[in-house]
Amino acid sequence: MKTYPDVSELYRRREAARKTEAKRPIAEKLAVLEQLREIQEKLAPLREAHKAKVRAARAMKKIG
Amino acid sequence: MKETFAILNQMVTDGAIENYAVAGAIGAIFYVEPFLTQDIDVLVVTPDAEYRLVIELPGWEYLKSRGYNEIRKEGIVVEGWPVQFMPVSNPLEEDAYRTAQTLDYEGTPVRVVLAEYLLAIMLKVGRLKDYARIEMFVKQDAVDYERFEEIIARHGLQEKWLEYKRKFLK
Repeated sequence: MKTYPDVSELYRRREAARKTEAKRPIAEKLAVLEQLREIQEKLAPLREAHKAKVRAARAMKKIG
Repeated sequence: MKETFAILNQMVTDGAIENYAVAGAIGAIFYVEPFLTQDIDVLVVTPDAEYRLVIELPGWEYLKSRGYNEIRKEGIVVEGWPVQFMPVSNPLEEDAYRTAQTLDYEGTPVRVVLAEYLLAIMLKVGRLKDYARIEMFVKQDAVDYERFEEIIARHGLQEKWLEYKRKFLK
């Protein structure tokens, strides 16, 4: 049976880091939101294409 | 972020990592509306099964030699974004890594975990925020359920999915 690395310590450290990050100033958090909004706009066509593909696959299954 | 993806692609080309697959919140926003996050989770395969800290992960030396030596939140900052190299740690993540698809982000190819695998990983992890994200995938019509059902059957998550549906999708 294949063995995998134990990443529990890595996850524990990440959770601890999240708590620290949560204490960042609101201006910094808003700056992150702004960045994400830009990415969201750039990815909108990809998201729509994916949803259209999912809907088309579903419609084909109904027909079939 | 485009520059960050370009560096990841370069790492593959140069053999620093076998390949990568973007997962986590950034992976998810390729399919649904964004969540608040500031790091890019990247699944990678490690050469052996030993425990690895961020400074032991594949690619760390490569990035450090190119001037990317800032660590933030257990991630390596690459072009402004902390990249968290997450070794695949179970068969589900390994499948998610192997089956990732290449999408185009502003002309840069990006290898992203399939939506149905992201959903299965969230279901397996099962924190409150994962359940909230699952709801977004469901409500925003971003899931091929036939593929998803196959995945959760293969990885023994059917009961968890039924429980999720009972609780949240009434």
